[in-house]
Amino acid sequence: MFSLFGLLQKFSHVFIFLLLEGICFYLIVNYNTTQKEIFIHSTGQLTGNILNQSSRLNDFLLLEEENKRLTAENSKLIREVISLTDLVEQNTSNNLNRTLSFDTYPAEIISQTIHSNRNHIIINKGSQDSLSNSMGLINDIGVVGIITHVNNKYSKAISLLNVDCKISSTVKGNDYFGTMSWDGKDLNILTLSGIPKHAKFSEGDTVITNGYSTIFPPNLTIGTIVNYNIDRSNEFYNINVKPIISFGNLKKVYVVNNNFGEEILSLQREN
Amino acid sequence: MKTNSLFPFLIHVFALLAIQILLLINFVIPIGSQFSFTLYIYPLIVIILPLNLPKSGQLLIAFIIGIIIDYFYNSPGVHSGALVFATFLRPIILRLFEPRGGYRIEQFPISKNYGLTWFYPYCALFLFFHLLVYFSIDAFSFVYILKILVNTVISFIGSFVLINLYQLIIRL
Repeated sequence: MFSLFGLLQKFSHVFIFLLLEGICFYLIVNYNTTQKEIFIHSTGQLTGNILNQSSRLNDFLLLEEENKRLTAENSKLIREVISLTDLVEQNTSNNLNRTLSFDTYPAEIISQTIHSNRNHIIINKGSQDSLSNSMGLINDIGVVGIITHVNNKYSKAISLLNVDCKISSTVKGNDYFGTMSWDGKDLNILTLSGIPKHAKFSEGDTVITNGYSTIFPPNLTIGTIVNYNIDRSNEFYNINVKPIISFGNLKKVYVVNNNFGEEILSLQREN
Repeated sequence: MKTNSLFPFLIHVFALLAIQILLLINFVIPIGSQFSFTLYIYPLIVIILPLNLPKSGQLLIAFIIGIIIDYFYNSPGVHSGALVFATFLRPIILRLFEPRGGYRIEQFPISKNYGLTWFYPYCALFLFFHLLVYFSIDAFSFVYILKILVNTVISFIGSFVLINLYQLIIRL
């Protein structure tokens, strides 16, 4: 302990030297312009590099938050796109005036089946997130399925690959509508039935939702036409459609809710 | 000025500062496009500091002298940085050239007391390091290394001659 003090005393002039040189350095860098510029430039390069790495690390740590934020933003944008395309359609076509208004909620798939005849999907949102039966399930590419059961925190939906799933659809560019369903046989082929044989379309055309189902907003892609044949018995086409979504690796979806669904349904039932 | 007496010493300090600030400050001869020939006489102040001063004290005095010079040269910190550095090296240089009988601490380290053959290397080494650090700080970048070295050498020659002239004339 005392030897430390002795050492300190012996080298006190070194500390004074360092202190004075420090003061000189401070004066040099602050009060002389050329030195100041050179100093700022050199330290700027060094600190810039360090700050850049630190910022990247920070960004990485905040990825989860950013992800959630982006999903919410996405959901809002999809909602806007739906209402805007609807607006455009209203102004450019002769559709009967129908103010569609859809809400979208983001959700994540926590479980799904793809190998049975009746495939279902379970998502992590439920009635406490204002979900209810018969809401549609989509993602940014196209149609995924329809919700059938709702729990407090989770919901179950049938996917397109389910023989019970029937969606009203149209070939893009056409006004004829038909029903999209699945026969349970080939994972890559859905069947569009009910398009009359005088309709004009070709292979590769996109099949989209029309507005006639109260579940899905119009113009959502379901799939593309692979081939077709005429059903002899009732003069309609049987069109084979490849779904645009690959059901194996779905993760993020959006639940769409038609705000006027109830009204329209009740009207349809009235007769 | 044989023994450590304050008054003659202070007169020398004052005289050297006056010569530096009033005369030598304007003495700049440009050589070529980037070199210049300048003279410095104030390092003599630190060279002839008494030997029995504590090292921290020597550093402080060097700092103050440097600040005064900087104030007039309008370059805060440059001269004092160089002078403090050279003063830090002074004990090492002195030890290097220690005469056979050792130093007599009651006397100033000047040529009259120890002879010119002792004084020349001591003064030269001190002056050289001081000017090297000074021009390095002045340029502040290794890009100008040639400028630093050339300026050091030519200013060193000039200042060395001047310092010894002062010693001769004033019969220090």
